[in-house]
Amino acid sequence: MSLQWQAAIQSGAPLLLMAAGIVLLMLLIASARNHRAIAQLTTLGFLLTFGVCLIPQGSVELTPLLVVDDTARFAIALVAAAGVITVLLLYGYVEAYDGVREEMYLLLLIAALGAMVLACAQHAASLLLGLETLSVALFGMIAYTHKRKRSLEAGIKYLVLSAAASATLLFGFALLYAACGALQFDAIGAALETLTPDERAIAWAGLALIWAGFGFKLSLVPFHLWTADVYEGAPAPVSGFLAAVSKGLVAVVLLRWLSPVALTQTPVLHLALGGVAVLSIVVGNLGALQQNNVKRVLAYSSIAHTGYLLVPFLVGGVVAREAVLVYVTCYTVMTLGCFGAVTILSGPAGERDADHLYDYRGLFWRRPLVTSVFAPMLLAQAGLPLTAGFLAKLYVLAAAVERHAWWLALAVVAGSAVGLYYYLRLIVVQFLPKPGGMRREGVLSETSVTAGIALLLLFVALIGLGVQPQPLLAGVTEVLRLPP
Amino acid sequence: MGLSPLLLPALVLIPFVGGLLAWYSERLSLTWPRWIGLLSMAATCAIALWIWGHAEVPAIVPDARAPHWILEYKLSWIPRWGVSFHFGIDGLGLLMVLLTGVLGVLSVACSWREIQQYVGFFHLNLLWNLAGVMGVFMALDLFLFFVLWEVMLVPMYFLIALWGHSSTAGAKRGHSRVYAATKFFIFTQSAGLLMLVAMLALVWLHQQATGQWSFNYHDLLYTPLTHAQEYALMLAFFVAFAVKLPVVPLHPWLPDAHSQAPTAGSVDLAGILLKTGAYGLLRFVLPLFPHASRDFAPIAIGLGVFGILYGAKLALVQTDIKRLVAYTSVSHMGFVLLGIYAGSTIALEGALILMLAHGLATGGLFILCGELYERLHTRELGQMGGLARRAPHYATAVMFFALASLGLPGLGNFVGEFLVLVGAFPLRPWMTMVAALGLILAAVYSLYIVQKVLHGPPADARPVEDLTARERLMIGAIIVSLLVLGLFPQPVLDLARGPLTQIGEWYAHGVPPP
Repeated sequence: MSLQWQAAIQSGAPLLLMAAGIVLLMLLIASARNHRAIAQLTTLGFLLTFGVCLIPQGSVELTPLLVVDDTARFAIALVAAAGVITVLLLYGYVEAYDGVREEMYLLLLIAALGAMVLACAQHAASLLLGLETLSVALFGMIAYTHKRKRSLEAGIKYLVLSAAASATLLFGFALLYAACGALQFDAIGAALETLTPDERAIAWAGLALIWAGFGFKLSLVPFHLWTADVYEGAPAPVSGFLAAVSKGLVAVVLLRWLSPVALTQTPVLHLALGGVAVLSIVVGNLGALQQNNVKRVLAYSSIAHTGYLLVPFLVGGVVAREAVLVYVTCYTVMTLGCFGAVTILSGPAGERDADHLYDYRGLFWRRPLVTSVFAPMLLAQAGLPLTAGFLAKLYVLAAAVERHAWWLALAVVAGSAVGLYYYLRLIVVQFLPKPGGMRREGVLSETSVTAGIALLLLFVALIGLGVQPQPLLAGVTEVLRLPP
Repeated sequence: MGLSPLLLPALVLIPFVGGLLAWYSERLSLTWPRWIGLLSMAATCAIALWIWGHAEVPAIVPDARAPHWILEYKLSWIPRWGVSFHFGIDGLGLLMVLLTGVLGVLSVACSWREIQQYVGFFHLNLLWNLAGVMGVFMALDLFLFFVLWEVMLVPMYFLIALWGHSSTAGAKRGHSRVYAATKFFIFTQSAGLLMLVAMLALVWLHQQATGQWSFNYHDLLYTPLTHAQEYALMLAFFVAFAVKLPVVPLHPWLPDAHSQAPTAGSVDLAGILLKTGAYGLLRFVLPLFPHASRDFAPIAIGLGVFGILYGAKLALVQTDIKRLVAYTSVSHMGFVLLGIYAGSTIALEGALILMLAHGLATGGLFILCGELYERLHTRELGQMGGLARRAPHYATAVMFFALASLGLPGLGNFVGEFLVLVGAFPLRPWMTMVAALGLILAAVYSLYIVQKVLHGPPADARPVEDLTARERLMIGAIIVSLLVLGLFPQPVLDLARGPLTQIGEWYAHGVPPP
């Protein structure tokens, strides 16, 4: 008995650590506010969680709701790493904020906990629990700078649409439960195969609704309308966390969802999702072409990226499962990097972040280090070799080629070609001379150093993954190896 | 024998590290980056010559079964996919590397006065671009090849976008240098991604057949393919290389990129980057997909011949001197395409010599255009004239390169074009005859340049500075190389005969199983 408990506590340690951190933080804030101490404590919490995930363990089921296996640990480690980076980026941003500062970290921890629950979910209840914990915390983070019109608007927009998506998801699971009588993923998958035609119609309707809910979270077309406004309105570091973690973890949970509930069982849905992937690529890329606002460009490019990410889900297969994890990892690095660069130039003062194209003019000559990180991040988003972005794209294409999904491969290629245009535009503007503003800017301070460290870490990860991807690939293969 | 395989990565690393040093040294003085650039490119030339001097090139053509490399370097990289750092060099690759080194030196030298802004960053981009090209000419791993193929794009994009000038003709249409750079990038990159998909498909087919993931050229050479598969993959590879070469319907990026690029960028583009397309066809398309290439040959040759005439015709109506030279490149590359797809050893040798000679001659012409722009601040032919009297040394140089471009016997271009036509005639007599008409058009546009720039009434009475010592040295070096290539082409032919014959054999009969 005690042995079993020990295993449960060990494997549940990341979640427990997070939860303990949240309580501790809340108590600290209630007793004495100290921005630096709170930020340090949050960082420590994330680092500990990250470290715990590296301890090799077997796959443990914690109640029927949660399973902590290698995939979950991989995803949790990713969330924790993203959390550390986000804290480093947030520190300077929040320091300059003239309201209460410390609650931001509380919300961040809660969001991270939600994401980690999502990583372990093998049951509809835990999936919704994780998703809601994540989303509710994100509302607060998005609207944190609530004196800004756009920030508040973005928060409310995300709240309303996210609630609608959750309701859709819930209704989908209810229909599925009516047809299958099960809520655990494995049980649903098993039940789906033995349905009568009547029940099947209900189940398929449920699956379609569930996908609509996922589509919202992943901002797939036609559920993408919130993306640009929310990314633009939210404080830059929060946009980065939202884009990287919330999307990435939904992708991870989809991986778990799809292994029993394979798309091949529902050909109509499969076909429709193929259309959704292509549409997302088209709309995301064409939408980004029209934008002059950097955050909106990044938002539309993220729509295109989820279109690419949907491809491995659609084709299935061994390489495809690896592709999802590789893509999520690389995408996290790139997205945090891009929004990190925006963060370092922005502050909570004023009506908006530094997100106009003009703000970036001549940046290379004013802030060479920021551009030295930002430009490679954008090139990575465009999928250029020697960066993590190429690895991601390579895996998506390899998965598509393996299953002869030529149309999807072609869509990815065409989308990437269009994407080049707006990434390049964003890059070249940083090198063009700015009249009257070619002098070095940027001061050395505690806040600029913390954000600088974050960018540096991301840059190392970006190039490291691009030049020497073998450790990640070996890790991903190991994580996805089916238990003997 | 004292040839170390480490020389191959050194050829890539020297410009790469040189670029970083040049960037950093800008803080010390603006001259440092130039010298660092010059020395690192000179070092690559020296290495290439050293390899040539010490290479054991077999007098007889080697056995057709496996490729033979003078030097080979291999290091494991991503075992999960069977990817390795695999460089190898044979006579063909060595000559292209040498051309890259020589034109690299010239690119640095010709920017000495032109580039005054962001000097360090300019040399970083120039040297990284050259490092990428060096790697492309040596990569024997398809993954590595693709990586380097893309690596040479980004710096080129910056060279055009940041140091280019907006042409007067372009400005009227609202086209800027950024427009030209972006067009160049999107054309090459999207075709490159298509090639990536084809590479992955090829690797996957190889994995299906043998159970092993490998991007290695040696392994993929023997991949069993059905005819339909081979044709589809060949087309994807062909498109990627055809954009670079360029083959006519895929050429629209070229005139814009050339005319808007700074001098060094134009030299680099015309002299080296276009050759990567031809090299790719020789190294990858013909050996990997011999049967499909043979079926495709009539179309490729048709496109090549059309390109010869189309490029020449369009060159005739240009008013911007750099656009004119750019279109002559389209025309000359048509000959290269003809030679490659004719496929006999003579035709392939002709294509190779033409690539080298065109690199030097067009490089020279672009350098002269750049010098002219520095002096007159215009590239419009209508505002030139009378330079024969105003700057006699300059005029002589223009005359020489114009004659080289039209294929005057005794110069490299003549040897190349002659061999291509001789090699292609027995196989495709009609096409070759049409292609030969291009030589007449070449004479017309070359003399048109001479007439417009050197003779006639000058547009204004300002004195024009004649060639400086640095410029004389550069131009002199190119003139000597072209004469050597034209008068004594035999050493070059000997060096590349083995690989070219082998490629020709594979193309004619397919690659025999190992």
